[in-house]
Amino acid sequence: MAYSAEVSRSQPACIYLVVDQSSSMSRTFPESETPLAVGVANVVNQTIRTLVIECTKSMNTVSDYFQVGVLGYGSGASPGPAFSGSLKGREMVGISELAHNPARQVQVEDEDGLVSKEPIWVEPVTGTGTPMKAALRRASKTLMTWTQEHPDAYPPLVFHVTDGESTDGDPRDEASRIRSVSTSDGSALLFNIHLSSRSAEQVQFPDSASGLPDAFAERLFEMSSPLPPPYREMLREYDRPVSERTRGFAYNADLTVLTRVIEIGTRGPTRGGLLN
Amino acid sequence: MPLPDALPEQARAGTKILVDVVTRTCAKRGEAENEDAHAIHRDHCAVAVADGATVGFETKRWAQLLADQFVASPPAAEAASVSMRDWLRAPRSRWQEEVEGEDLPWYAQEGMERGAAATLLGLVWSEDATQWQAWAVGDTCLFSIRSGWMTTSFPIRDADAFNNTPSLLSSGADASPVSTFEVDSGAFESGDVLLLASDALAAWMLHVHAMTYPRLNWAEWTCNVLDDFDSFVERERQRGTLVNDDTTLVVVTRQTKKSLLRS
Repeated sequence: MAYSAEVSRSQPACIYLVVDQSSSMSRTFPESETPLAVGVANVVNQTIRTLVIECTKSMNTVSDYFQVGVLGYGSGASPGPAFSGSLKGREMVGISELAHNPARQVQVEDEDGLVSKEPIWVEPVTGTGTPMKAALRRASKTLMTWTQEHPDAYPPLVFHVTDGESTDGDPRDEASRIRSVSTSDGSALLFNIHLSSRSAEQVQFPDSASGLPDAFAERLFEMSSPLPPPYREMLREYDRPVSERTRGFAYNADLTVLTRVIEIGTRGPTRGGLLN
Repeated sequence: MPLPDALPEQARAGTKILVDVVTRTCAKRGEAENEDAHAIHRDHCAVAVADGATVGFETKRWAQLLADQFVASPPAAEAASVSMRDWLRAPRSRWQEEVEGEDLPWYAQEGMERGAAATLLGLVWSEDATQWQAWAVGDTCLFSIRSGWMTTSFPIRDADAFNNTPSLLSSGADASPVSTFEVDSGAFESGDVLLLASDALAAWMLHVHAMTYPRLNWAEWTCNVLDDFDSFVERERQRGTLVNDDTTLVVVTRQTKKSLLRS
């Protein structure tokens, strides 16, 4: 059965985020003062933090069940790895190395007054255009190399977060290339999450392009992977309508939806493996 | 049922050798640490097996604390039910003492708050070894074997009932706490064998029990598997019939007069 490969230290799973860092990401979420770029960086850092904690087995051991990559594009230079600090420039990093090397930590106080340190690996960055095509092409090369090194691993999970249209051409071929990267356990899953700075109707996990607000949304839908059975099962647990044509796609998402899509996506490898 | 005080000391001491306990355990392939724990306390006539949930912090430590706690102070046989909140106080407090530390890295602090969880199966037999009682939370199972037949399967009876979400005892406050143990008991007769098996092996046994005809002689199976446990586990994992997970078997045998005379 596909999407059931064991996740272990000798056979980690791959979580890969592709993040739009174009100038429009400095706009804020609807009815909020939080820029899209800041919100996304927070979600990426929270995701890595959650994965680290899940992999922390003892006082001294963080087990490398995952390898994580974050690719940023649109900040001015060519698309490139988005880790800061000592991990700057690294394409794919094991979870234990991430645990030991946050770029910095910030003090956070919760509503009960409890202070904790939140680790930061990725900083919010905004730049110029949206070279989505170049970014997805680079992502497909990185993922191809990864699957050659891990031929029987759980297929890579790729989360592409963007607020706008590509400025370097139609990226659908590059998206197809990512979706065709595969291991013996199945093809990479590409989730596309579109964020909006305007209040607009949200779409989550649709099974058809009809009803989508514009051609850009239809294109992103087409670029997204149809969800395999284990993911459809998970969506049912979230009480979402699901069919064989349901895709990993969200449009006009806010941070809650972004977090949810990543949460659902990253649960896949752990259901049969880590959680037994 | 405790022995009357009037019996000579020698005879009282002799009942302890009526029951023989042997354990085998094998870690999950690909993992350095075996998160199954077991404990034996011959004076208390008690054994326990605890299976740590894979996602958790210092899980083996927690599983061992639970197993140790059970055999150190087994629940009273006549207790109608045990308050789990009360019973967990001691192991939780011990876990907290052992893992707390100001110099923990950030992820270990978070991990500590997250805590650990494990199943628990405890077995107690009477001093005269004529009765047994078992206490369970989760899917670590007890099987009783008489004359080669599997006569009891507790708390799970069906191979299909195993899943990724057994009941678990947590090292910290729990959103859905377990309120008490499931309990079972039975007669313990000469030659009887009680097997405690963590879930991967228990599921394997129930599946084989249902599918094999004529029925497998479980007493013979036990002898064979004790001789070469690691090979058995490796072989069945390769065949895909045993889930790759920490695998533990504890064998508690009520000796017959013959076996006592031989020893």
